Amino acid sequence: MSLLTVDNLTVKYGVDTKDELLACHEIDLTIEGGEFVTIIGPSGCGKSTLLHTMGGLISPTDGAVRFDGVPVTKPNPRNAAFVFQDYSLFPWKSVEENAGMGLRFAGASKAEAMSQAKTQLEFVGLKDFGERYPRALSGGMQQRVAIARALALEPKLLLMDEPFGALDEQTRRNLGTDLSRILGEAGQAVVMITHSLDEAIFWADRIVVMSARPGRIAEEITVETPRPRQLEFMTTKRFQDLRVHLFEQLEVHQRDAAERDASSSAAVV
Amino acid sequence: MPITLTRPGRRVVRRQATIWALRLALLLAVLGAWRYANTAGEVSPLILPQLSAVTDSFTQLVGSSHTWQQAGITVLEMLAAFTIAAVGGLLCGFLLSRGPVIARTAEPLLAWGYMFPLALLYPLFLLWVGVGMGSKIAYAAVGAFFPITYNTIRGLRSVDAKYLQVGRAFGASSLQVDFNIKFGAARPMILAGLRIGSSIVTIFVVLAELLGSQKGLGHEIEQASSRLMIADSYATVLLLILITIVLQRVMERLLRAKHE
Amino acid sequence: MSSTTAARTEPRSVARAALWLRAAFVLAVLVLWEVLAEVGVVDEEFASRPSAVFQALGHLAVDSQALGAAGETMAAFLTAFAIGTGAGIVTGVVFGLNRLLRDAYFPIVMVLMVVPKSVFLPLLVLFFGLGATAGIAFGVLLAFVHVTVNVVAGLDLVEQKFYDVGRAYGARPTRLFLDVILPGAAPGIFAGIWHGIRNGFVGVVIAQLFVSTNGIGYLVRLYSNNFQIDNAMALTLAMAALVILTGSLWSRLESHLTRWRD
Ligand SMILES: Nc1ncnc2c1ncn2[C@@H]1O[C@H](COP(=O)(O)OP(=O)(O)OP(=O)(O)O)[C@@H](O)[C@H]1O
Ligand SMILES: [Mg+2]
Repeated sequence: MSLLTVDNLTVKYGVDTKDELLACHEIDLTIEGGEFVTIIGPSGCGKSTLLHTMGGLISPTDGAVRFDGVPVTKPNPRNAAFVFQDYSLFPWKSVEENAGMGLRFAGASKAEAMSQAKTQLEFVGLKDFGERYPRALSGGMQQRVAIARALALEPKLLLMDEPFGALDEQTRRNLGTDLSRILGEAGQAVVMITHSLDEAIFWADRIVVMSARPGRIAEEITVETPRPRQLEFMTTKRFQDLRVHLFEQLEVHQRDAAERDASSSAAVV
Repeated sequence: MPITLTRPGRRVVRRQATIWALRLALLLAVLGAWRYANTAGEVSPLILPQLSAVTDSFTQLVGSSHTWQQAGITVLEMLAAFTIAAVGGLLCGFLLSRGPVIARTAEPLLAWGYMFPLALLYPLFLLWVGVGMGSKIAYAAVGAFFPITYNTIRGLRSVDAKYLQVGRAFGASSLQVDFNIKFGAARPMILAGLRIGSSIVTIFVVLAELLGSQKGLGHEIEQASSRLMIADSYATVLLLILITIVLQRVMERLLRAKHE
Repeated sequence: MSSTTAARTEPRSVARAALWLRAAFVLAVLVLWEVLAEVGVVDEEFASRPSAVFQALGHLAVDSQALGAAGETMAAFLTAFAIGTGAGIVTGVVFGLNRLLRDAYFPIVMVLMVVPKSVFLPLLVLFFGLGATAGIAFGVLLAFVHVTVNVVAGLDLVEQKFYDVGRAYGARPTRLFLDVILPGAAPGIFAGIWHGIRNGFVGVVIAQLFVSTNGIGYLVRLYSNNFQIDNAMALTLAMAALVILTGSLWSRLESHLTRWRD
């Protein structure tokens, strides 16, 4: 059985108000155990909405999300744990407390949370920073803490919303290489939203391309090259072809969105 | 914060020297004006006593056990009033912040309570509660209660949604959200409320002692002034200022978080 | 969709419900007070009762002594406000623009901020006597300290990058001040002026209450000492209403003038 299935999912914001907005439209998607799926699509197309619904932060307007066959009604971090784009570490808690906070929230004892936090911080290479506070850490380090916080729950699935979005190119690369080791060892399935074509291809077993709002799945592309991959993969023909293809796809969807916005605003005027 | 381990550079030292020179200049100007007023300016010693008289009086005060008894009473009143206001304000703020309607109801009422010139009620307070320590404590606690409660509600209700989202994503219970997230995020606002509250407490306690009391340093000042023992009056004012500065320093220490 | 992020701005219905609840609360307090006074649980001689207070309010509105006192207090307040706020803004701007003076002298203002300024009252009476001047001086002191601190805080809000833009485009100091610094610091300056109003008023009233033989403060003391609780309360209530009304109008004006903030 698949790990997670998204079945004919529709999500609207502000139902029955004049601001009603269709964010995701009739989406079908399955995630297998241990699989790495990247989601890419134009800005505002509903990627975050989809991810949040997969994790139970938003309830579907129509359709269903199932984890191990059971409908998801609220977040269950031991199944699927979030890593947010802006890290969302609590500035008033030490790094170690932050890393253990997810477990504490999920109901673990303090002792258990702290010992897991230590283990995971060591795993992400921040063993010596447990006593510090987030503001003393660089962006890349903070994101590792956020990853440690999620890994501490030993979830079967990690949901990552542009986890490297706020980082510079160099840090992204380094953290990316580290992460491939970390996730390779931990063996989780991952769904990761990204705006970077390179990241989307390099990481993925499967790439999900979404169309402009209302978000639908425009295409799913399987990348057969086995993981973990070496950086050389980026120089292969297969990679370059995929990149060109994705680029064109996104262009098309972006233009659709622009045209639709232009015509709808014309209609309003 | 990066910590620099190098010695302060020349420029820093020079700057510090300038700053202290400026402060010294101000001090000298004040003392000089005082001197001048005492001698050539012919300001009556009943208004401005000799500087030496004030320092003499100050040494005497500091050496007397009576002074410290009175100071103890004043400090005790301040601490008691602050504790009551802080505990009551945090508790009420916490409870009132739990529902949107009740919070919206309470916010303006508390803001009005803070704006209200409570000083005007002090004569009535004296009638109701008497002139003992209790009335000073009650009066100051009421004054400090409003800003503390108000800021607590405001702080707890304006927590950044991204922090609350983490709580939900990891399945935090509502108590965990309160204590691990909301109080953490609301901390700066709550601390600001506590600071305002503590300054109100000192103001009100001293005022109450001046207005109607038989004890405390405020009362001593009042006594000295009305008996025209002006040097004592100045010296007591100085002592009271020093004591409140120490109190504030201690409080700042206690309130400062490690992550700040 | 119960589990989505809560909307930042609460719906209108919440505001309306809160308004009703607030009115009901105030009314309930008044009714309770009246009833308790009626049955004698609350001693009317000490605590009066709402109906008596409102009646007294009517009398005071045409009482020449009360009106005279209100006039004296207003005049003293306006003087204290003008001097204290003016001096505070100038000092605050100087501190905000000159790092050296600020490092040297701002800590002194901060100390004044935390010490109970009421200790200076007896000394001010020595200097200025029991008349209106002592009250004005105390109002000036209170207003000055609060205004200065808020104006400096307001200038701190102006981010370095805006100064940089100004300099990069060769803005003259006056231009920079008028177009960049002043608007950027507006929130702090507004807060400062509000504190000037509030503290100028409180200072004047406290001084009148404590030492003076004129103004509203004195009258409240007189009424209280003569057990004319209804009059004392009515006067206090009127003053409170005045301050709260001014405060509300001020924050309206402020949010209107600093609309660009959101
Ligand atoms: N809480 C909300 N209430 C109302 N509308 C929302 C809300 N969150 C998102 N939207 C709208 O839903 C649409 C999809 O938003 P979403 O955040 O899922 O897009 P996205 O693909 O993640 O965009 P980006 O790439 O910029 O992060 C957008 O038009 C957005 O304005
Ligand atoms: Mg997004």
